[in-house]
Amino acid sequence: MQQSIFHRLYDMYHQDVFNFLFYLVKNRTAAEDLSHEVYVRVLKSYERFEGKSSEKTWLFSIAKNVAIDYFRKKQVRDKHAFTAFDWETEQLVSPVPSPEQSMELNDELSRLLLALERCSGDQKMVIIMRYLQELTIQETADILGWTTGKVKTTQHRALKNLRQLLEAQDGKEANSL
Amino acid sequence: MKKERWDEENLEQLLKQAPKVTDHRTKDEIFNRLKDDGAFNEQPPQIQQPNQKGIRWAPLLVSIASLFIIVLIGAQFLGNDQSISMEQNTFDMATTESEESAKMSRTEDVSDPSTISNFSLDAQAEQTLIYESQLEGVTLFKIGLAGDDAESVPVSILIPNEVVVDKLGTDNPTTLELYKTFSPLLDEQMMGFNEYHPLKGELREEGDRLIHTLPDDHGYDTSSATLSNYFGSLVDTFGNSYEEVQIEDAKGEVVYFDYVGETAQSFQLKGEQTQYNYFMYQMRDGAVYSSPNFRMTFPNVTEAIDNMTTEANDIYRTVILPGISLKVEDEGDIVTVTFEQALDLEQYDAAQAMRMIEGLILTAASFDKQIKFEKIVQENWSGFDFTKPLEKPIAGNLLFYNF
Repeated sequence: MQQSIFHRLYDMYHQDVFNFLFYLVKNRTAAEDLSHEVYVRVLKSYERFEGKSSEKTWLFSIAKNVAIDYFRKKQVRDKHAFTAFDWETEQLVSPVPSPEQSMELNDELSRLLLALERCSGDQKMVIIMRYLQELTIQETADILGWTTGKVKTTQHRALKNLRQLLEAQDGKEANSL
Repeated sequence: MKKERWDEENLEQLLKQAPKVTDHRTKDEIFNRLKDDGAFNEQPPQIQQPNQKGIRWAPLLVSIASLFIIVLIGAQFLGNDQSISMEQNTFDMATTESEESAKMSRTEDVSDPSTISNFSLDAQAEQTLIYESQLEGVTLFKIGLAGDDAESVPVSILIPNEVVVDKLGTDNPTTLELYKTFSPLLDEQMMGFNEYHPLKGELREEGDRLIHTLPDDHGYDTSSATLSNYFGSLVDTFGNSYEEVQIEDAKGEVVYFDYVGETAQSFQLKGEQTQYNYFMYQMRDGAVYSSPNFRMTFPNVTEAIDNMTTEANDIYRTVILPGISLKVEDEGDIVTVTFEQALDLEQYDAAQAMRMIEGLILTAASFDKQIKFEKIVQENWSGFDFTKPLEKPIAGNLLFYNF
């Protein structure tokens, strides 16, 4: 039973979930570990899934939780403090991408993704879901447990924030010339 | 680079160009790793006995105090017309030898075998919920205390009215008056929490609004965690009594929170922003509380309860018993939770079962609803009458504190 669940979910969603996790943590090994953890949690709780939400949003909801836990643990390790981690206001800062990964991206996209690291966690999550993962507003809301209004507001703020960050960077570069 | 380059439309186009990153591992590799980790073990999960030690005060004295309290609560829930009188002699017994160590207790502590060995009460789990009907001769004092993870933990204390009259000159003070009087008297560290109250600055009330004037060095915005704790504490302490808190600086102007880079004019204490579901939060000393999960909110009770069955993180644990499936129906003022298989609560650890029942009741109450359980084997259990909708609690995490 559980093995067939794995095979089906893998065939339908694995690469999407991996892509989502990769852009959140920017580290292939970490994304592999997290996708493993996603399956572990899915298999443990699948019997509780009642089909009220779609299987896809349920799976991404678990992937989102796994990623947040990753950043929470990272904070504990980095700061040597067991403090609360509010993913929505905290920055979900990923390691700098390796040169190999960066080479695949054009300059503007590289800068944009670096600026995304400086956004708050809720903004980063929404941008990845909406644009990199191409999830609908409703799907994003279902995954995050938010209203669609909150998704729209966060998306708007995220784009505005990104624009300000990138323009400020342009300004600094122009001044240094 | 021209500034227009980064307008919204271009940003959206650019983001959509991000390449898809694929997992290079084969399906077999991923499958085998899961298999090696026992992820395909089809055995139902084992019930784990929670660590409920958390006793840092004279155990026997607390046990005696708790025994009295259980008798009082038990009488209340069994239908006797006896309110929780919180008679002073209960506390006197606990304070005769070591006032510092025995000022506070909570009902759950008696499930620790080390504290109850003389009383054979270990099979009984006690409620920590408080109901309107219990407030005879006592005043409810709710407060959000700072937990180990810098998140507010909502707790409740019932203060005998004579103590309230003695300190305030009235048995009907406002919530703010109660807070100003009793929060400085709480020994939060002794209770296992971090020192946090009273809040910095000045609090005053205007009708159903609270105004919090913050000093320049308030420090509530030094990180997202401190800010989250501050907002959580406002909800937990004042949410029952006020609609919103207006936050201002000493000049009466809007406060700018450095960390989040946002201004805070007013903060809603009720409504959608406080529609939580409840999880188990365990402090490092072992004490266990029902708590919102990082203040995650939900538009409706069905989603909130559904989320309790799937959400997982390292700090807030689900209260839903392992292997349990349930269905939720939301109709009017009552939400019905039906367990898929008949649920025999006696088959589970009593404290764990109580946490699930209380967590579901608190979640429903967060949406201003009563809850009705279907397919529980026991008709009556630990004071609950499952044959009808349960009374809506007004607070949870009852603690006993001798002011």
